[in-house]
Amino acid sequence: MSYAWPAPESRSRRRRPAIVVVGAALALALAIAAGTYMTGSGQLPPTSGSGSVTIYGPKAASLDPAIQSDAGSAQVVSQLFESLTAIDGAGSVRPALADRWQTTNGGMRIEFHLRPGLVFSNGAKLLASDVVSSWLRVLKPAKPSQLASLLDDVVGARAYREGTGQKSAVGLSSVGVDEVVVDLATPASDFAAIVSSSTLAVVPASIDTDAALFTPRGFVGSGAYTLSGLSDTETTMTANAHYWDGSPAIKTIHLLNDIGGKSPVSEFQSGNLDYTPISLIDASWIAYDKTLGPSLRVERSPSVEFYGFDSSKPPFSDVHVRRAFQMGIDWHRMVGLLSDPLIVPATGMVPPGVPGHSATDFGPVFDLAKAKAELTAAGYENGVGFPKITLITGGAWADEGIVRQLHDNLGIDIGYEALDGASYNERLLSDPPAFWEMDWVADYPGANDFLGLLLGTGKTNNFGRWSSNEFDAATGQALSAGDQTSVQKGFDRAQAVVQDQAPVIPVDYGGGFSLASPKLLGAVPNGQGLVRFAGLSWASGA
Amino acid sequence: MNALSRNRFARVGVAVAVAVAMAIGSGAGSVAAASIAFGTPSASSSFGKGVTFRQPFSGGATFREVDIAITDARSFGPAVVRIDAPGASSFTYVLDALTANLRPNTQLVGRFEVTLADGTVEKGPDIRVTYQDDRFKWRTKVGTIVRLHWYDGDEAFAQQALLLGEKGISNAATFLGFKETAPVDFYVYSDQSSFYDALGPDARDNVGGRAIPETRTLFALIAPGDISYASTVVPHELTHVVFGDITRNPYHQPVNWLNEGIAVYVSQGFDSSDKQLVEQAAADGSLMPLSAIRGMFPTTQDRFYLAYAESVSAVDYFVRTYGREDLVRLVKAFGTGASDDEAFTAAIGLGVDGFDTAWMKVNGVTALRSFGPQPAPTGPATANSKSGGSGESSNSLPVVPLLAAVAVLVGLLLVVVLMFRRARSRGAS
Repeated sequence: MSYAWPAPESRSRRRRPAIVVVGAALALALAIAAGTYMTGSGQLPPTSGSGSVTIYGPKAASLDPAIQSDAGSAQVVSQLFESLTAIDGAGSVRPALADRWQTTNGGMRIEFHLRPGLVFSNGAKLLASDVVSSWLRVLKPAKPSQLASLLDDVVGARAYREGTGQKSAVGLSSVGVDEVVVDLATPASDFAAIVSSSTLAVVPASIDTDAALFTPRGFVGSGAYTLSGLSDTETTMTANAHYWDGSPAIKTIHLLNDIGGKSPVSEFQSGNLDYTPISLIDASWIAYDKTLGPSLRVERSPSVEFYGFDSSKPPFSDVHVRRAFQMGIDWHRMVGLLSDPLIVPATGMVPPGVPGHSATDFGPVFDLAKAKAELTAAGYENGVGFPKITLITGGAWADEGIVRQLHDNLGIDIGYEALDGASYNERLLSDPPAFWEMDWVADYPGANDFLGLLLGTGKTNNFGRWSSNEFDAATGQALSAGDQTSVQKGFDRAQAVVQDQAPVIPVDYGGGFSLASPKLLGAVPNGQGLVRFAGLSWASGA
Repeated sequence: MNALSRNRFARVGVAVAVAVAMAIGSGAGSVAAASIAFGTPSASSSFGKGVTFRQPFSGGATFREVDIAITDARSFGPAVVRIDAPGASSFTYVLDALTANLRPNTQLVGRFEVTLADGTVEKGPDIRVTYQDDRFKWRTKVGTIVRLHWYDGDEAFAQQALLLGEKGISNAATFLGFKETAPVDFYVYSDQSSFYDALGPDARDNVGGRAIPETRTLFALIAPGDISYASTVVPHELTHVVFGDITRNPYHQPVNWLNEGIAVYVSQGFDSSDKQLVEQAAADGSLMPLSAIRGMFPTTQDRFYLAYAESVSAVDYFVRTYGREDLVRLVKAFGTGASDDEAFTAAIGLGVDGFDTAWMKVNGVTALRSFGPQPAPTGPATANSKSGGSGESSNSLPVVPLLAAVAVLVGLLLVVVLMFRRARSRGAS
């Protein structure tokens, strides 16, 4: 962190009123020239019938639903490509390309009925066969999606993605032009929610043969917006006139991916942004600012940050070592030291607001005596003889504290490296570090997205390669249970296994702040932490 | 999905910045052989552009992967970036100044690491380089602790500035009960444009000085002859360096108002203009609680100055009420990794919020009005709300429209029956 001090008074500090007046007049003139105006409540971004919204956010690592796997990409992809269902601001599953669905065969089959007359953004018909081919792309054995395990409940899906089964054996089929039939290997009560994931959005069948489909010139999508511009600094999206719900209220979305290192708060104040995430260190003063305060928003995030181990190799194949790390670090205290009201210690893998979040605390418990005993049981009394390992992350806030506590509390010295985002993600999938970190945001609002998908045996996102029959059975029971009590009981059992075996250590639940123009309506993250741009509009008179 | 793009912690460092840094190769292809011999590496710095690391090699090898690990004094541990297109005879990597948030005098250590086909990792030599502001012909004057770098103004001006620096750091260290021994680099810019370019695009308006304790560097905007401003900004920024040395811990940073408040208190005291600002804010209801300025200071000019005034007011109140020794105890507690609450409680028996409340009370304020956060206004019916229903097993028609349709049909039937009966009765008559 750096610390600043005001400039010399003779230049700009505490300007005299006359200068302020001149400055304000100049600012007003500039604002008018730039198409903005000021009101008694402060500066507002361009509003009057502009039909555009300017947002600050990350650039998508990939626009392909089957390739993207991070929250920043999902934010973009979910605007360009739609799936059969979607999640609203309350976290409920809503119809999207499908207007209805029904579960039959004792929960082993789901039939989705597409809305009549669906078309892609270029006017071509969107058929049930497009849905099936889009989902089969996710499973492609040569290079399955990182999130391919979302479809593991589908008959034959896992065998196909692992290269041991046939495509024709996958339980995905189309009936006529508007019905998609999904046969499940086990009853999956959350499948309609799973389908809302941006990974399972519908793409044109020609997507693998026509590279232009992901460019502004040749783009064809199924979402509320089309891709009209793509540069290093901006992703521009234009309302899709063929969208199933009609053309969105906002015609153009300017997603600025780079604001030249400037403060997003300053850019918002200047009217260059209508909506932007900000950090707590700015939010705390903005709350008391008469002009900016009304634009401050809290954004709960359905996410959990956790640390994990490569359980397939020593030393972390030994449960005693994992428990020593779990109990030998005061995880909750480290979270508390952040003094961030929105970052709270995790009480399990399933974050609040996600169905299946438990009232029981499955979080790590700091107990140094037990940690030392576990370390001794593993053969490393007081850390003596502990092999050289390296904590590798994408650069997380707790890294330095963890390294320090392992040294101070357990006598273990470990190495540390931070990788850039893309490399880190690849590393996790191909050659997981001994000790790693992950921040996971809901693909869909369901407990299994944080349990079975991340820790189930053989799942694509089980980075630590942990395997537990007891855990798998517990999540399976939860998913096939008919009543909510049994569902919760199953997931609680699974979390108890995780707490005991410590393949991962849930650390904190996230959240954040944003600044949004008070006249911008609908800027509310949904149950996946994503803002659906189709729901944005300017207040009348804005 | 993973949250690669989620950035929660305002950490200035390579760890985050390198995520978008640029990797380039000096040629394509790899060489098949069993080993690799690293040649003499080099690095060059170019202000505004970044730092280029070069590592020649020979012997050849089939690389599975080539990375560069860069250690930056501002961050914990090395950041590792993969080189996507390693050259045939040398590796090249450019650390972009903007994306890596580089500031002049940032010391970097780079090292190329090659993973061979058999998984063996070969590490090259360390490449040390300092990112410099090469736009000016800097002159340097060295004191006991402070190294003054300036490019405009005469020797006398530099000597005065150096003395201010030496005195400033001595005063700050004495005030905070600490002994400084390591050198501090102090860069003096004479024009605002060059100064702001050095600070980078995220610099707040109205800034005249900045300290980066991690690199033990401070920057100040001082025109030759404007030594009166230097007499405040120099000790102010140096106090931050001392404060940073005392409070550094692996967990969190102390509340910013305390850091800034002590810097103002040491450099100029709680002067009349700051008193006036606080009094006025207390009177008109615009005073911010100290908790509001625990992080960044406001971007708006009035609030920016008020934040400094409140900070020094709070430190002044602390010293008057509890004494300097308790302030020293408070500051030192942060260095042990204590939380804000623990540090305050250890020093004065009152938590940080309790101190905040007490300070506000002294200023005649018991309740403050916050303007946010506000709930986001919902839009009109959106794509997924106006379609209605959950969609699950929705073969049946919605109940209300069905009832309405039934009612209309019954009504129509009654009308038809009545008309029919009326027609029949007419016919009968």
